Amino acid sequence: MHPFPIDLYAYHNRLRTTHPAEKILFAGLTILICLVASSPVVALLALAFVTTAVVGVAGIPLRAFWYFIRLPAGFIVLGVLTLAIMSVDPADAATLVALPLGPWHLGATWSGLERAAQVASVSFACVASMLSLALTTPMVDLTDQLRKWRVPQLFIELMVLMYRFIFVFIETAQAMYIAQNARLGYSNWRRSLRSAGMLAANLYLRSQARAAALFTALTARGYTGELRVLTAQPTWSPRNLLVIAGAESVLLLAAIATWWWRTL
Amino acid sequence: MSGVHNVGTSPLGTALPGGPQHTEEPLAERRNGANPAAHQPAATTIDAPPVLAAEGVIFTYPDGTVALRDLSLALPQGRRIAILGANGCGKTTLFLHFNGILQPTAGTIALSGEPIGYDRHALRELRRRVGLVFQDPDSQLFAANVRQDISFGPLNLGWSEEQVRDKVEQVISDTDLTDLADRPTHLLSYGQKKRVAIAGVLVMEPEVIIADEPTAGLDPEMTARILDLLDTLHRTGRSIVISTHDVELALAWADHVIVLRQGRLLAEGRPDVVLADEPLLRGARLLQPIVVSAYRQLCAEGLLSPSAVVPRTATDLTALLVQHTTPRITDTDRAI
Repeated sequence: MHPFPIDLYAYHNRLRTTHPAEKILFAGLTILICLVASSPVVALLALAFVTTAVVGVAGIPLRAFWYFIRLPAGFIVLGVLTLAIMSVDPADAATLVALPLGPWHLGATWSGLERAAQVASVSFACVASMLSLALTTPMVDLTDQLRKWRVPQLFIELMVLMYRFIFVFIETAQAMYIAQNARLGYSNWRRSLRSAGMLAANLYLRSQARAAALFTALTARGYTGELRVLTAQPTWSPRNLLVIAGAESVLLLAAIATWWWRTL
Repeated sequence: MSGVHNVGTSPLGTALPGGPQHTEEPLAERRNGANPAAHQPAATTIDAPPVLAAEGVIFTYPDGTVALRDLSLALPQGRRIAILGANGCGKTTLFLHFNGILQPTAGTIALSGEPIGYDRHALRELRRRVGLVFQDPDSQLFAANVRQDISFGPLNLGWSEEQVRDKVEQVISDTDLTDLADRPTHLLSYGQKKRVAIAGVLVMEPEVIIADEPTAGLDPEMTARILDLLDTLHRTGRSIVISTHDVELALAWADHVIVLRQGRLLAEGRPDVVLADEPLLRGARLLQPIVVSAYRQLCAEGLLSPSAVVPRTATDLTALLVQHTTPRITDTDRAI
């Protein structure tokens, strides 16, 4: 199996050859409008747009999209629970439910629920937007684009090396895990802890050795402190830009409308 | 048969442009004829000027390990050279010296007769002219896709982007990587990674390509592909240096072999001479090639009369056997 399925979709989707800046623009603007508007209506609209882009346009199965969004969704739900459920005063008219818990009351209020819904929907839309970028754009396109936008070299080089070595580490860790397991390293709870600790320590030592080997190999090819590589030259699509402008305008209008509604 | 023998030249070997001219000796002739050079000490068989040379090189690692002990050797230009030796004999350390990554504790390394310098400018030129392919491609490939990784070396040389782009595309097609050019490096197979690693060095247009154990861990088909690629590069006039423990490979492939033991030169010369010397090989913790021991046993059994030149491949050995059993018949045929 591929160690990192997001990457596989990034290389095999119908938006693969689209200019990365267009995809960054779409995801970035959507996130920005969602955060500024901070309205569930705008967030749900954005979620609909993003899902259409990922599933409809890029051709990534809805199930896959859901698979990747599950984990961050779990975090959002946990975080939002603390907003929805709080200590309440049962005498207050705003309180909807109040459960006695010793000297306190746990419950929910309308404003609390509203706030929870708002945070949940906005976070969910933002995560989905970010994921739309990750699922349709290979890392190499992202770093290429950041280079063109003159993001400091150091950040880009760190991204490049981390990305490359994620896979080397996953493979190394898997091989070590299998080797430990083959010698009954995970046969009970105590041994599992011990083996996992050894694996982590070894992985650290190996990564040190890897870094040294990489440095030697790069030096052999004339490395003098800068990881320069050729970047691809993608073309802008006026049609895509128009679609992005359209979608973002709709979001912006929705944001203005909800803001106007609230001030009424 | 001509009296002058171009020892050490393989049938496929081509003279480097500008280098000494060789008159090619047909393989059949070499198998037939008594080759006087074969009886000479192996060390005198170099007939090309050295492209790389080590002179009295001593190298001690910071932890005190002495890796090279007074090593002097010369790599003939435009040849396929195999460096043999057991693990820890100093092969990799020597390679790192040829690329200027390690600096000898004592002694000198020379490229085309000139001692190499260690300032920025000299090192850049050295690393362009001497390409080093590492054993583990995972430590060499760092970029997210194949094309980017190949472009790394030439961009370090300060070439224009245009020039780099053209050269990268050319090397991608030369090394048969067109289908893989946009693949992420981590999705390549081990053998594909090896080819990308060679391409990443080739793109810098080196005169010498040094590959550390290029066939280790590869299946027979992949091994053949890598050797084909190295042969293609050799035909364009480059010197190719590989390190290996595989004596069969060295015997069949190389024009010149060098045997190291514990950081010292043990022997160098024609593969069919050096690799037929069993005591020497045993001293280097290597085995005699199967072709050679089969040949020796056939001679001992009287099924073959000892020839001047030791066979280098199964095909060579078969040819010797055929020759041994058929000449009288052909003579009779002719008489009739």
